[in-house]
Amino acid sequence: MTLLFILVVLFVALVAYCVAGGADFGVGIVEMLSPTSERRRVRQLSEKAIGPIWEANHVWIVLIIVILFVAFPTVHTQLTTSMHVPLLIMLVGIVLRGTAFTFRYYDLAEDVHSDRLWTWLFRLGSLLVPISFGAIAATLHAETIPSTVTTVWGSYMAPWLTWYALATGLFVAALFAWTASVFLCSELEAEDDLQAWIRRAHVFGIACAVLGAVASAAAVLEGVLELDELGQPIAAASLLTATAAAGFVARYVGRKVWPTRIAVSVATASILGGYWGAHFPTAVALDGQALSWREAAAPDASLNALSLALVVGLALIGPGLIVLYRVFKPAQRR
Amino acid sequence: MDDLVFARMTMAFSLGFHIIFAAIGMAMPFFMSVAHRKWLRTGDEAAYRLTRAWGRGVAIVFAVGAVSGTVLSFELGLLWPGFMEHAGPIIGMPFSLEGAAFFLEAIFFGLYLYGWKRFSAKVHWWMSVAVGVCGVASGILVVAANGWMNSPSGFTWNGSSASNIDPWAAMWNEAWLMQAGHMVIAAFEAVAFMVAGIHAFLILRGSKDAMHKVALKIALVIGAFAALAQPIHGHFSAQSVAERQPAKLAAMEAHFVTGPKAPLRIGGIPNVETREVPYSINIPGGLSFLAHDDFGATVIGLDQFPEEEWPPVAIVHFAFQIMVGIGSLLALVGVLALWAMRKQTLFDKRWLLIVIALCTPLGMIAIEAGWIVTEVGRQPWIIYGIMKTKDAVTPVPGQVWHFVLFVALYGFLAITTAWMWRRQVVAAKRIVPPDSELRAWAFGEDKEP
Repeated sequence: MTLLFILVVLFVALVAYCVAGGADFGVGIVEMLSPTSERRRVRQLSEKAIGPIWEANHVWIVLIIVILFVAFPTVHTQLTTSMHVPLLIMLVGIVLRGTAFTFRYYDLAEDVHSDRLWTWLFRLGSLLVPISFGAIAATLHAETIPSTVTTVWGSYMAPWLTWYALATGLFVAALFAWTASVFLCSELEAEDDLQAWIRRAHVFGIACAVLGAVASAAAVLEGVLELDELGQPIAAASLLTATAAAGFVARYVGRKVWPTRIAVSVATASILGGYWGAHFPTAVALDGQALSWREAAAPDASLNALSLALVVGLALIGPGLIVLYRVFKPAQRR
Repeated sequence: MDDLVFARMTMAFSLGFHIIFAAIGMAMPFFMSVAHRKWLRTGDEAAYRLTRAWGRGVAIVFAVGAVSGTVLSFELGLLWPGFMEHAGPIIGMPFSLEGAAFFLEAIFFGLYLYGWKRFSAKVHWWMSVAVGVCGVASGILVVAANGWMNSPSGFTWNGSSASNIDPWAAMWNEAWLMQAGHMVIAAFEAVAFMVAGIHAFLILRGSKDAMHKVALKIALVIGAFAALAQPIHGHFSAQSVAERQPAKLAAMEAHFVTGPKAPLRIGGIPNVETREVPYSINIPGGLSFLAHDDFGATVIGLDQFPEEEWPPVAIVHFAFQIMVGIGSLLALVGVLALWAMRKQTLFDKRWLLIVIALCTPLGMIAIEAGWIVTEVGRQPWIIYGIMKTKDAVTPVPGQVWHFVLFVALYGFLAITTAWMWRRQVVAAKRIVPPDSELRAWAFGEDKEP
């Protein structure tokens, strides 16, 4: 029972990070891919929207790490060892994005040189995180890691440097950019801003579909996925839910605030849930040895204590986040 | 072997970097609150502008502290998987609670920083207090994990794994509150002298901005009391170490031979081969008093431990000397400053302002030295008496690159943050006084103090 509770919180934290944190990375990607003439406006709007909330959005990843090492220490150890390099890349991205965003906001506006540097680092960080995050996620069940250490390349680089992992990374980047576009659409007052962001939401929505298909194709070609596995109930349900949610977003983006935001979150949750659920109860199978959540679980005393801490923590954080998000919602259109 | 050395250096570098920002994140919000409150009570524009200036400084530091703290939560596993696999389930409590406290800190920080005019002035001020309280709470909680490494409890070790895990007993380990108290006081002391030093420097450079005088007074009062409390707390800290980790205490004082009336050695260069400490000034019985409140008491020396279990004596001894030396100096400066403030001559005494300006980096150096004492002093153990550091290190080869990467990344960040701070300080004079709208929000339409 406690195990189930902790798994639920872990899943919620993962979804929250991908939606809230993801939207923050997404604005960096949107800014990078926008034409030069639109970048300044993208930046103004995104700074206004995520300035007050981004630091809270990113604590979810710390929660995920803590839950992993307290409740599933062997999963954590396997991850930090086998996924050492992509985790480091992700860390570099987290550091660059967070600091460059803040520096850029607080630095003196008239210095174009430092502004250019922060901007460049902010975008780089915004891209590094989703790509490495996606590559790690893709490798969790890819069984590409040799069971005995061969070479540095063979054991620590090649397993996650696959086309499938790379395509998944790009898919996650598109997903984050799509999330960001949909969230920002509901914070705009000017009509031309709104049209521009609706267009972005459509573009990145399509990019998600294309890259998702490419990632699946790469998985099939590289032997990670059998085509008929997509027909399994969980996988099929998650694909259908995500597609339906995306369709809803495409229809109503910019017109209905909370329904489209919820739909975007549902799409992300169903993709994560489908991936997670299709492999359940296996937690990771990095080297082909399936490690189940239960096998990896810490002793009951640790799980009980962690559950208590999570209940107390979430009881405090939940209302705090609600206040934070409510206070910093600019005038919304309905 | 090389990987172990580089893993340790990466960890030391990551911790040493983060602790500066963590200390500022713990103490600085309170400074901000004090200035903010002064403005709300007196309507003093200098206090308002100072609040805004400090707020910008804290925002920059907070971002770097948040990401470097995230880095640490990853580094524990990336560098020490053997440690985390066993320690994670045991010391998860303080980590998860720390996560919650930090989460709240980030929330309150966003609310405070961007929340001007969005709440009542009173509620908004309380947000700044909440930021500080959550910051200190997260600092105290995370030190519990380090305390546990020094004083492991709450489990039974059978040589290769832990059983009978009791996370609460692990959290309430003997070292926790002692270490946490030392760290919290140190954070206030170091940040106060850093802030005071910067503002003293600006006054010395001829700035007539009233903001700096307000800042200097707030910082010096907090700094002086912290600096006076710290030696007293440090005395009890040392006794706690003497009881729990006699090898660490012996290394701190380069105390090689067990015996009564152990001297307190000031300075000196420990020679592990000859077990002598030439060039030191010895206070007879001083160490016995420090450790056991009795000038004649016997203090366990390093000779009671096999040599392969000695921490690097010279490093620990030097670091301890630096920490204590700086602590004593800051206490003295604090007393002088309090005395000058009482006589209202602080701003006339140019020499005192120069001394305060020179003290700017000292508190932070003392914090670094203190962490070197506790971390290097625990070696060769990662969990004292249970697991050696070399058995916990990651099997991933090429840790030298990990180290190089973080030196480059953090080196760049350290330089840019310092540079950003300098810019903020220079630009502080541009911060405008509160406009009528803001004053109306804070004081009501016509009730301005």
